Amino acid sequence: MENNIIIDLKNISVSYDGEPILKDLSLYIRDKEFITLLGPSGCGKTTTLRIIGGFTTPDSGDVIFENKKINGVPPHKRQVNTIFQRYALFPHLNVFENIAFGLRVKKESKEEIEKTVTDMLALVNLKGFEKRNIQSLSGGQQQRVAIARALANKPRVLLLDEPLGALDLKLRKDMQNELKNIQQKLGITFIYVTHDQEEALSMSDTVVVMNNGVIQQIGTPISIYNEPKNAFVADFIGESNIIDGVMKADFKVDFSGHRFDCLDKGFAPDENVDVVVRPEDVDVVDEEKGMLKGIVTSVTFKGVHFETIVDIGGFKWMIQSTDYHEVGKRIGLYIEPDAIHIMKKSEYSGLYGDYSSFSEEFDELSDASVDMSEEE
Amino acid sequence: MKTASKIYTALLYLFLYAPIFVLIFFSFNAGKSTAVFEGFSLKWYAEILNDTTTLNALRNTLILAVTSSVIATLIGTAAAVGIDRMKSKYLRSATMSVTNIPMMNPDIVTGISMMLLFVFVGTLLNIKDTLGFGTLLIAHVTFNLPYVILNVLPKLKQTDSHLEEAAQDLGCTPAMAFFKATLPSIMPAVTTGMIMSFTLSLDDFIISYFVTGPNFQTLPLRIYAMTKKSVKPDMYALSTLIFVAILVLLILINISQSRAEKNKNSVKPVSRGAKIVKRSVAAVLAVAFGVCCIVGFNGSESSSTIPVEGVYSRKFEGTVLNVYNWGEYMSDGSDDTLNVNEEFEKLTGIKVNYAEYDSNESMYTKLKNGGAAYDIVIPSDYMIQRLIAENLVQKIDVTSLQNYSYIAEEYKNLYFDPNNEYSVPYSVGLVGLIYNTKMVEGTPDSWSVMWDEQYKGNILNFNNSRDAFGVAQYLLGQDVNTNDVADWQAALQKLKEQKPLIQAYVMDEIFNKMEAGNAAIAPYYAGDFLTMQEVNPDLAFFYPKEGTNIFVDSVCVPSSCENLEAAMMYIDFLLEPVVALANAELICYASPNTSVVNNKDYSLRGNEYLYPETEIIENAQYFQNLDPKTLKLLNDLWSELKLS
Repeated sequence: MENNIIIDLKNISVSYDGEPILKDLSLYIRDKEFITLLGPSGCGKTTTLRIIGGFTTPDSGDVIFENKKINGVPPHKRQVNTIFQRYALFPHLNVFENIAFGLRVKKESKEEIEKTVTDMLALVNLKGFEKRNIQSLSGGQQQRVAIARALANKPRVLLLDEPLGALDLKLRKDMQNELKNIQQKLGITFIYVTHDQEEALSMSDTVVVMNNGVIQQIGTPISIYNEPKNAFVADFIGESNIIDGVMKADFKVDFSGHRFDCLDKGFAPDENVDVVVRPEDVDVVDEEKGMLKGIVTSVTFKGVHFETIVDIGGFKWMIQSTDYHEVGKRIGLYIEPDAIHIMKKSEYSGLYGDYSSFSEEFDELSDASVDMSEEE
Repeated sequence: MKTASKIYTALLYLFLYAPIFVLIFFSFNAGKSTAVFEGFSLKWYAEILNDTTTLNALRNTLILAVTSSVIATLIGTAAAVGIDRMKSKYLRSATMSVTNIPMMNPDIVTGISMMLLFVFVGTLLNIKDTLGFGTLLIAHVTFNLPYVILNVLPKLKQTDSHLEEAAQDLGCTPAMAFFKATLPSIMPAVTTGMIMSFTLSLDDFIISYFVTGPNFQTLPLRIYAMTKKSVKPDMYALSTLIFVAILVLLILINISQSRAEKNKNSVKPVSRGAKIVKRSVAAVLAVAFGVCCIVGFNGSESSSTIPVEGVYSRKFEGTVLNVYNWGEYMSDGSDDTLNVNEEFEKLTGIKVNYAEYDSNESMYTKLKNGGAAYDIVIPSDYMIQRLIAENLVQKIDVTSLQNYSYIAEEYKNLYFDPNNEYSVPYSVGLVGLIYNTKMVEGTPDSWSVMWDEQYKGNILNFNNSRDAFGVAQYLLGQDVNTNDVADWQAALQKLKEQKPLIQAYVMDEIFNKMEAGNAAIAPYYAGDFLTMQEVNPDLAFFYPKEGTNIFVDSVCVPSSCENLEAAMMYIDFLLEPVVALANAELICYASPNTSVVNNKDYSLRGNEYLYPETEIIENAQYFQNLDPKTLKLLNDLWSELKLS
């Protein structure tokens, strides 16, 4: 496996104006892999990408490309190409010239350029757009030109910095598929940066969850979702109810005043733990049949399901179910052993997983503000 | 509402463009007047193409505008990129404030401070002729810079900061990335900045006025210097040509921009609009340089053909003589006349730098401040008195001049140079009264006609204190150089009496008003009356019996002149009968040179207005320097009169 590694980041630290951005980050990337750096704004994912692209030099640590240290190698000498946020297409050149830009810099022959550009346009479904002006293209078309422009240089690694961020939802879904197809067709390494967990889960071979300049968890989309390492990952990937629990013995955990069977083991007796229960894994039953009993405090219709908030002994649970339970109704909850995931206590314990202050609007507002600060 | 706004727009455009259309209209006038259209003619266009002095000034202006705008654009664009990349907000805003100072500063402050700096550095480095093309170029680049930066910086802010990274990502070195990605996307702003600098530099007068020297005169400076003798109509032709050139450029740019705009939404290639802008800018620059070259070649070398003999040798061949004279005050070859300076250059091999001024006072400022070494100046009487007192002119030995004998006796030993040690008379003028025979009855002979109630609203008086008070002083029989307060108060009373009858206090407008018959009576110089009479034959002229003002402009050598012998050679040349004749014909004032007065070919020979009986000349008074106290009194009284 070792010789399959194309990029190896070793103990990378970066700070900006005395503010640490990356803290001793180590990460290796396999050839032909679709790897996604996922995290909230300001987590250091874009900085990691810029270090690989050569636009940022780490304060300490090594960047290894195919067993060669490339710390000080400038961007134009690296075998990687980048697709930038908002594409960074050249407004003074038409579609053809934008795609041919890198080839012309390399002084490729006319025929070669012609052929490559035509191939690339076919690859991104933009045949016949050669002479079009950049400003006359839609966002999705510009996105395709940006992809074609980067791929025309036949990079070993393609870096994508939130490439779909500016597109609307429907188009984003289509482009996700298209990008995945292109990656598989060309067989090159994609390093993809996003803060959209759904995008990360649906496209990637490997997901790297980051926060505050530290990698929280590396794994396949399924393992990250099902076995989050800490409260941050559990909360960031999907919705989670995270409850304080005590591990009584292997496969036995106490929380919310009830003892549950679970599939986890290897904890010290009576160790305090974080218990994760995904909202879709909770079954709603009659009050008397429930392992836990509570009262419905709010219901939101989400299309596929209802999002029901249930107050159980002061802790607000989120439950997703296709049945409607009106506010004020007393209900019981039933949780299967395989729906329970036990995590060790971490610095994030107690910060996430309680829906008592839950407000979607508030979430989005705070998201937007963080987004803007990153753009600067 | 709609009609109101339409009327408003129409009026706006009318006021904006009416002056230009009047100018264009009169550039086709067969006559000289700006009041009377005497028929269609292209003669001023022909004249401007033969006017080497003006074309030289135009060439200088274009060279200056092109070089300064190109340099300012290069530096300004680089500066804008630097400022854009500054990380510290405070540093950036501080830099911007500093950059903007030349723009916020009144031009006159910028001009004076630059002149002081240049003169100071010049003295420090012991350079004699500091002021000239170099200093002009530095000054123009300086005031153009902020305009380029202010154009480019917002465009840089607009462009995606990732563009340059994208180019590097695609294989460009950082430098290549700038030229291939950033520069093209800010190019429209760079071009606008350059065009703006070009036009600003083209029409700058104030700053240029302060920092230029004898060897580089620009067009605005030349036009401004013409105010002594009123602007020549060939300037209308030139202005029209410049206006049309700029109009064509603007239209080209607009067309190309609208095409580029259309291209944004079509499948046509983008670059076409940009190409047109580039081409039109290139075309304008090419034409500018073309004009420069053509004009440059005009001064072809051939030997002098005029009949002079004596002192002229080629011993100073290759040296330079800086001549500073009134505008329109020396024959320059237009209309097939003699080109005095060119002939002198051919004869002696000395290069003449000819620059012009508009008033004794502005000439005085240049001499006083230094930074430019003039060899010849031609000030008026009272100014010569002042220059001598301040040691700004040097003694010359007039007896060593072979042609000094031509100077008429009555113009020797004048009050400002009683022993003929400093000056050689060049031109003489007398003030008289011009009147329109259709509007004024009989033949007036006294200043009192300016107080005649029946001409109420048709009387003009000078718009400068000394000349306006003079009119009252002659009538009251006073000495115009008195320092008696009571005399001045009496003159003020007289002028206050006259004020209700006065149509306006004017200077240059006298030409228009009298030529068009818009006023009946105005005091002015006899020579200028002849010009007006050509247009309006109804005009007549007389010297009032109470006496009048006489002035003499004489050639002097400033103390800064180091080659007195060459300067003397030039003075001798000005006294040559053929040269003096050409100058007298052009200036149209009286000549103190007897060879001219007695020359049969002199078109104004024995003219009763230019050369009146000696009695009138003897009766006329010179303006002398007033003592500071009297001067202040005069200024106060003048304000009092204007405000009453």
